[in-house]
Amino acid sequence: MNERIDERRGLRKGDGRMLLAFARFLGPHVGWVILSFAVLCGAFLVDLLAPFVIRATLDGPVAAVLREERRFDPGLRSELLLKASLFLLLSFGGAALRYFEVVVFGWVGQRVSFDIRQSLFAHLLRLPMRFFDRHAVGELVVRTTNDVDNLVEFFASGVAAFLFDLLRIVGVLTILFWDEPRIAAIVVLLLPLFAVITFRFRNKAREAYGETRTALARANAFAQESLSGMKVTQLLNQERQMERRFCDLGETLLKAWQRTVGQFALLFSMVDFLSQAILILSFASAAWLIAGAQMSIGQWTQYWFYLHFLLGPIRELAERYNILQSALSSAEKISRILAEPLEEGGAFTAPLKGAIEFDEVVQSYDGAPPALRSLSLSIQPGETVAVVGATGAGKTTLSSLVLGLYRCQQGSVRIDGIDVKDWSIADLRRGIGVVPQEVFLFATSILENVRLGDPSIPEETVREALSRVGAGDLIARLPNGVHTVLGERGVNLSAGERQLVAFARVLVHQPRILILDEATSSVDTHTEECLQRAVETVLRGRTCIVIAHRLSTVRSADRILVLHKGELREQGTHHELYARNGIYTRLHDLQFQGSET
Amino acid sequence: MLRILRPFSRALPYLKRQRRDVWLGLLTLLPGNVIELAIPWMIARGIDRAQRGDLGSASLAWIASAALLLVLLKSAARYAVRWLIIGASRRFERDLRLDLFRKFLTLPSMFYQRQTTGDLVSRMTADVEAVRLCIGPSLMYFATTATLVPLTWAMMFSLHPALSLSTLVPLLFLSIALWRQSPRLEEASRAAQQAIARVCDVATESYAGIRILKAFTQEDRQQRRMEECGLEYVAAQMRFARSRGRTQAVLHGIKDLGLLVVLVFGSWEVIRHRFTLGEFFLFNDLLIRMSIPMMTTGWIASMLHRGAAAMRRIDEIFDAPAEIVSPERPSEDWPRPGEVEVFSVSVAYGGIRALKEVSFRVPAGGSLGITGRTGSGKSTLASLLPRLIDPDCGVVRIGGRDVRDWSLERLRRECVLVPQEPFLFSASLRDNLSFGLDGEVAPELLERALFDCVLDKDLTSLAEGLDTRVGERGLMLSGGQRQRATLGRALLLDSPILVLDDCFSAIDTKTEALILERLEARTKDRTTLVISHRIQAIKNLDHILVLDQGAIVEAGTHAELLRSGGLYARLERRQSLLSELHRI
Repeated sequence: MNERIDERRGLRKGDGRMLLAFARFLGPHVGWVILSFAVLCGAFLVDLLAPFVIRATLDGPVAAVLREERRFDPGLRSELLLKASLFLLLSFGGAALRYFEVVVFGWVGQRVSFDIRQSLFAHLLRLPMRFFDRHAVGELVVRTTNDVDNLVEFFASGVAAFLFDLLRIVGVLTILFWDEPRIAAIVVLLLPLFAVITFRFRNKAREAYGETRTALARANAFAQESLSGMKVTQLLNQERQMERRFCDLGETLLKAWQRTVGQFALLFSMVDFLSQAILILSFASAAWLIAGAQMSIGQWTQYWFYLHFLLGPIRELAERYNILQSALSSAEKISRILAEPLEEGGAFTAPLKGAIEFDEVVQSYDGAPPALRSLSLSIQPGETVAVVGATGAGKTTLSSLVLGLYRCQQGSVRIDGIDVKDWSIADLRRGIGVVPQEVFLFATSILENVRLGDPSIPEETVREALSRVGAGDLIARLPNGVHTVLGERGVNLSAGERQLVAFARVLVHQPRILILDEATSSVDTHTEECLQRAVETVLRGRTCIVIAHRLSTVRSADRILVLHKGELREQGTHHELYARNGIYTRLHDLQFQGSET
Repeated sequence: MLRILRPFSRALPYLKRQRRDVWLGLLTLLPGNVIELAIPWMIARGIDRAQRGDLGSASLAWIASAALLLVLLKSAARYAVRWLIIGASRRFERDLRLDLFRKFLTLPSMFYQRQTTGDLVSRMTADVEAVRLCIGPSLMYFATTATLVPLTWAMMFSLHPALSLSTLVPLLFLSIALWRQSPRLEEASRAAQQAIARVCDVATESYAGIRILKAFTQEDRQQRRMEECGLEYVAAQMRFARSRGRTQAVLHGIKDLGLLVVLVFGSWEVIRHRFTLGEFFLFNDLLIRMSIPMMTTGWIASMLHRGAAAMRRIDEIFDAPAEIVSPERPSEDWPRPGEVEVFSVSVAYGGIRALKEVSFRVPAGGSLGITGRTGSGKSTLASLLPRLIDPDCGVVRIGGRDVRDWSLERLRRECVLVPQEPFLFSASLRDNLSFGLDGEVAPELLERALFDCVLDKDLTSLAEGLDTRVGERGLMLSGGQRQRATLGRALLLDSPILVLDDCFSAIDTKTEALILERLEARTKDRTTLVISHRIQAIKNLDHILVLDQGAIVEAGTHAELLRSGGLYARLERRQSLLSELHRI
């Protein structure tokens, strides 16, 4: 479906300034922009010259012979051939310029859209997490693709074509006035009428089309819904009723289409009639002038070509307006994203030591009950702390706050005694390693996925890290070893294998703080053993927060924190906690039961 | 040419239904096209007369008004053609789409599990539209080209055979070039589409994985990836642009070649007095007029390619077997109404056995609970009763008869299944509740159903009560409200057999208990099967089955099962621990 027609917003104050703001993207390509206009002007000139050659031929040698002023002789023949070669040259030139016009305009448009897309994408990536909580992924993807293309199409086929049209209209009318003001006067009188009527009828047709789109959207939504709810329909014996409703919607849609077809048929016939009428009236006046010997046939033929140049752009007027509207609405949406403030970091930079403190931290997400309520805790450098709790206890929020992905609403989170918001974002996050549950792998080689774009890490180190976490067999099995390129989102590795790669990442980058988010999904026993060894390898000498889902791994932790409903309810070692017969005991038993069933 | 039309064989009957309008349209096309050619001819004659000096103002006025009148007629004909043919194509579209929808209504739920809804919808929308473009606009443009070009050429031939032949050559090249170029253009456009799809993938990946991306400070890297994809897209678009540019250049060049032939050969003939200046003008005009319909050949070619592919996708739906259908002569009597019996039933999906030799019997008015872990085959078992699927071997009997002997409609009225996922339509709550009933539903029945599914208290919190629109898939309601509404919808049908397939998962335990209590009070003589992973929901039922890996591993009453200390007892222990934890 075409989104464009939907977005009829009219023109508003400030639109010009908004589009002008995007014009800065043309800056780096100003040479190409000038070239593209040069090509346009060239193409237009050639367009104008070709009919002129025809006129010159008719009014020159041909007319001379017809008036018996000249005889048919070799001189005449070479004159004719000269004119023909000139025409041929112009044709070739015109064809070549057409090609360059499309290519050069395509190039400028594509470069500009590339630049806009890149800066939009770069901006989006640096927006705070809260922004992404408010916006659906699909919506943002549409901004990055369709909206950018819409906006650029406006510059390419909107502005450029409009300027070209203007050039054509002004140029042709100037020549006509200069050459034969009487014909020009008739055209100038009729053209506005033509423009107004065409514009109105086109907009009427568009309106009818708008209604059709509503009916279409309704029918499609119904189809979509009944297909996804087919089971319910069949279970409740409602096939006939659904069929009847779909039939009714189809009937409504058909009626709307018929109105639209009628409107468009009217529009096309009207445009056809009016342009033919202009041609006929110009002919009538031309014939009158020819009869009075005030105009030559060559002149008429030339004008006739020029009239076609004039009618085309006026027919397109309404279409250009629609492109403008769609571009405006896209521009508006893109500007709104570009105006969003970036994620703010502090200026503090230092190597991380690894002390973590939470001081009466309160954190809640929009509209939800607080995920953390007044949480205080402190973790020493080099300490391994396990965080346990049922789903929704606030475990993930804890790691988000340490990484500075969110700012806590009350209290403070300090790393090495410095508030997270004062740290430089890059330094902070580079000092913290995360092994998430769902490992995110890029669609490049395993080597690159471990290196994460740091070329100073030698391949040997990567191989060693991979074999230390137990991924040696995996690498040996892959066709190109560490150079094997992974599919999108690393689909050709299992969840467990992906975690091994993530562990290798951490080993190679040596972060001071490590956050391990254990996988809940069951991995086979072999991989689990590998993972267990990997954890032990990685933990040594680092501050580590293990978000534990499997309690079997927490026994080795220095300390276990029990989060429950956003609060720190219990802490201590496994034995201390189990003996207490509180939340931890129940979590433990639950786990025990779960592993057995 | 004919090869390209072969995939459309199934569309032919639909086209035949519109044959009157299509033929009328095609017939109207002819006079329109004749006038299209008459106008330049009149102008040419007028010019010749003006030049000879025998064109008085009176006859000029006469010619001009006659021409205007003819143009008006032509425009009217154009209008009629468009209205008739495009209108017919719209009716064609409606019929084809309705039949497609009818077919969808008969396809089994297994079919829907294999396909995404988006893909199926696109067959009903985009693909049907692509076929319509072949039937409507393509046909119209093709007919225009097929009449206008020969007519023009005949006219040119009658005026000057040799000149007309020589101008025709470049135009023929034009058509051939476009016919050949358009699949290439299409190819380039597809490549550009694929490139933007990759841009889309990177964007989706980045926004969906933004958390991890930030945690690993991979913004720059991801930006470089976007840059690579973006550059590929630019390159693909440029290939497309070059292809378009070539087409444009060829169009322009070949049209001008025709004009060049007229210029050289025509002037020569004018000088030789074998051709008038008016005719010279006429040839120029006709060449321009003819080049437009010839240019559409490329468009028609690409529409036909696209339409053929779309038709194949539509055929896939029409050819899909309905699999689960009513028997030709459905049985009308059932010896033991309300009884459910499953005998030695096995079901396999793609080589994996979901149910293995399951047998049980529930007497009329009895109740049965079925529990087990995720993937133990509970939902498969439920789907067998109203024949959402059929067993690979074994028999399912309802009312003492094989379910395959019943008409589907009758069977599904007898046995109502409330499925796991609470699906509501984007209508009002009232419409959703009465969805299974034909016609109006009595208010007191509605009220009772609302009470039974414990939705009565929620009504006050809904802005417009029963008339509240529940939004797409019912998303305006909470998960629990949706589940209770689907239950209410089933209760209104008052069927002798009710199967609840884990439909309380989003409802808190207290409400669940209340619903079960009310159901029990209401269902003295109704056979009830409750499938649930929550022991709470089934513990009071007459009999309980425990499924594991598709087989019944334990059976008995709640007390018996607890005593035996097996899987059921462990599940119970785990769930009570969880709820204890929740209360702390």
